[in-house]
Amino acid sequence: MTSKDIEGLLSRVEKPARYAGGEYNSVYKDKEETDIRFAFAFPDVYEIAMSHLGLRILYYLLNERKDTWCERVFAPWTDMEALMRDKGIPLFALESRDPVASFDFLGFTLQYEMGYTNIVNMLSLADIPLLSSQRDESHPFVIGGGPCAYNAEPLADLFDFFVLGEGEEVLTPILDTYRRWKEGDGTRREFLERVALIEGVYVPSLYNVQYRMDGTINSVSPTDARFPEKVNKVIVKDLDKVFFPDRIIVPFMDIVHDRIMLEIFRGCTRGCRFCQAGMVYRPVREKSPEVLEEQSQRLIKNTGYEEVSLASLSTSDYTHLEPLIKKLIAAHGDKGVGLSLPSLRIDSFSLSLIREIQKVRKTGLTFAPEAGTQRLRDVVNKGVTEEDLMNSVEAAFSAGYNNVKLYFMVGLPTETKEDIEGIANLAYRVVDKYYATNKGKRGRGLRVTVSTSCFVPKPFTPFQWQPQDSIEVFRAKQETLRKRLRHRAISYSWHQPETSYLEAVFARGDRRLSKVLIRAWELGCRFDGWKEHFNFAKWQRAFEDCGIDPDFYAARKRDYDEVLPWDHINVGVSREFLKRENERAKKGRITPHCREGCINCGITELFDGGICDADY
Amino acid sequence: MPIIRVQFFKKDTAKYISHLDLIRTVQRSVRRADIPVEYSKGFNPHSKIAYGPALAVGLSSDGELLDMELKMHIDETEFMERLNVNLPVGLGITAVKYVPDKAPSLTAIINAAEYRITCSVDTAGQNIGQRVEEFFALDSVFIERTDKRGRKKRFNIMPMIVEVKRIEVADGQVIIEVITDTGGKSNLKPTDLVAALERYTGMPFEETDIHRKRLLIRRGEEYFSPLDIYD
Repeated sequence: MTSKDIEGLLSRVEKPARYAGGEYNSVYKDKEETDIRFAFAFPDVYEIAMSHLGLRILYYLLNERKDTWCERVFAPWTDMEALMRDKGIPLFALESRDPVASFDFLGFTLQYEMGYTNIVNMLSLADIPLLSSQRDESHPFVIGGGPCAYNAEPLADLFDFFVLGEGEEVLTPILDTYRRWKEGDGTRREFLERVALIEGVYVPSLYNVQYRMDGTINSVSPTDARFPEKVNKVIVKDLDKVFFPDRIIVPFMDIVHDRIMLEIFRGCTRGCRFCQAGMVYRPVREKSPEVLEEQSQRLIKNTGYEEVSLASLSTSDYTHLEPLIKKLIAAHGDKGVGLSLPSLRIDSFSLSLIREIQKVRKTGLTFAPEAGTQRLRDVVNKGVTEEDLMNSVEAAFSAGYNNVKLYFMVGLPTETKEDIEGIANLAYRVVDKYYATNKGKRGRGLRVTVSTSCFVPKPFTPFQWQPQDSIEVFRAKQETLRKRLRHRAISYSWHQPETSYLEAVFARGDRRLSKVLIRAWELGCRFDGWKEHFNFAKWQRAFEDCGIDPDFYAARKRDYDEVLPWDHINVGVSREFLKRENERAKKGRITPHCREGCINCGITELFDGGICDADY
Repeated sequence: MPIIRVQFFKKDTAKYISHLDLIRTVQRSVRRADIPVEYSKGFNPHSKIAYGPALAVGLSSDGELLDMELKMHIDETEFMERLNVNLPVGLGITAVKYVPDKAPSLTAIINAAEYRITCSVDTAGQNIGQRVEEFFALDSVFIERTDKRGRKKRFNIMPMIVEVKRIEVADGQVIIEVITDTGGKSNLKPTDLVAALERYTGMPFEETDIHRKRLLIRRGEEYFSPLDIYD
């Protein structure tokens, strides 16, 4: 297998730039000079993978090390996979085109559950044994990180270990430990036992899970007292000082987020009760506007990108947002560099901000009220009122915007018929607002896009004990909305409930699901996040073949005293806090924003000195 | 505003990028190089760069061309050096020249291109060279193409072959150099030519490597380079 064989395939696939490498700012090293070969893997197609901020950071962080060459490997699209299997070409890294099976590490970022079968497929294409227990010293260590790593139990049999928390903190000690281990002639098991002692590393094979007769978990315990009973996540303490690349790869082809992503803070001060990111990425840590301006300058210079987007959860909660935006526009606006703010909340959205952004480029506006009535918005703790939304929408229409997107969730706990009706009512009120806006000011041709996703209860959220709606119930709710939202200015889109159902199964799944995953892959499942490839019937068969009832995971309400598959992982927010929040939700009581006063989520106890920028 | 005509190559990994990808890539390289390119007016300003006939994905070239409108005159060597260090591997500028402000566009003047086609063919015991020569001597070879509306159309490719410059067969390899019609008025895709050759000879042409050597202006029997016409 040579680079030439790969060339032969490239002229026969749909988008060869996905596999060609060689993009500006991609890193090429002399492999004779590097001890550690690291393949950073994203289990989806190039356009998605290359849009991921974590990859952009960690790629350069790892390549800063002289002893390490980090390359990229993504899921080949089905046309490429067919050719690779036909010609016997194993999964290769984009830069060197070497087979990833010869690497030291294959590190997957786990962004969403529907990418899991692609992981199985990539291991198979790489010719690496699917199960951790089948690998020997000749194989790379298969590791995972990212949000799904916080409950990666369904992947436990496939991975050698997981990294919990922020890679900048934990990858360095892992690679240093690896170097020392590689110099000796230790066994694979010995290395795993050594990394298990590093804060933020979870080695599933070193933990035993015992089940009860009813199928729930009895206990999860380490196989040896040396290993921690609870594995803590790790975080970066000072974002101004942490490594941030001054360049990013500039892809040839169009990718989903084809722009500079400037990370302005981590964590979230809101406590939306459905949101996993808002819980697991705590505590809040901000970057200063001065550092951000400098980073944006270097990134623009080194990439030639024409757009900068501010990346974070709930961007408008950034303490210095207005000064930052003014700074960035003053610095780059005259060069035709646009600014986008993808994660704005509706309550703090101000007209002056819209005006600032509009100076450069006009983009559509997205609002996420999440629920249709105030009652339900209070249940989920989305501290937004209808008045907030209407004020923002009015401001946007007066500023000439004519394109508004509204995001909602259906199936939230306690939801009633009225809440569903409320979604439609809100959409019509937005339409009315447009027609009430002065004709001279508003843009022409109103477009309101209403989009509903299906609620998926996630681990480490106050709703982690809640059942999910059945597929039939989801469908009935979508049907109601479809009928109610027939209007020429409104378009309605909804998520496939079958996909959300599987997400719910795997999000809160345990180790017994590893075999279902492999079975589904054997039956041909891959690219499950892509409508054209998703095949629910195959998944149903996989569950049947393995004798596992998916409703046990998706549709079942858990009691507070049940041992959850992720209880031995500590993300900082306490179980007590989550329980308290779930109880408040039932009563429709909102919990104030962290900046109004500490709500004792537990995060300050995880780290010395109680790092949390929200604690003013 | 001054217009600079740029000749560049596209090879290695860069040959797998589409024409749209190329446009984006050049735009960003120009920005990195801080070249004072002129921008169009409007909400989504884009740099004023106009290309010659697009090269199909998978083909390499030494003779691609683009015209760039600049805000001010800059030295040709400096332009080349600054842009070259900012282009990704596989793209590089080989010549530049200022053309008159009112020069007609590249797509308006280019009507031919020279290609080098290299294929692996089983040459043992077959007189493949002769078969290829016979092919090029034919008056008519019809191929079928689907137009934009999905209608099938048959047409003769032979009048589009302007000149056969070289046919070489050795060690399982066929090398053909040919000038064909290229551009808006009449265009022969080199891949269509290879497919027709395969059909005529009854032999599979494998590992086909197609290289565009140069883009040309043909006037009767004479060829001119778009880079030199204003000298």
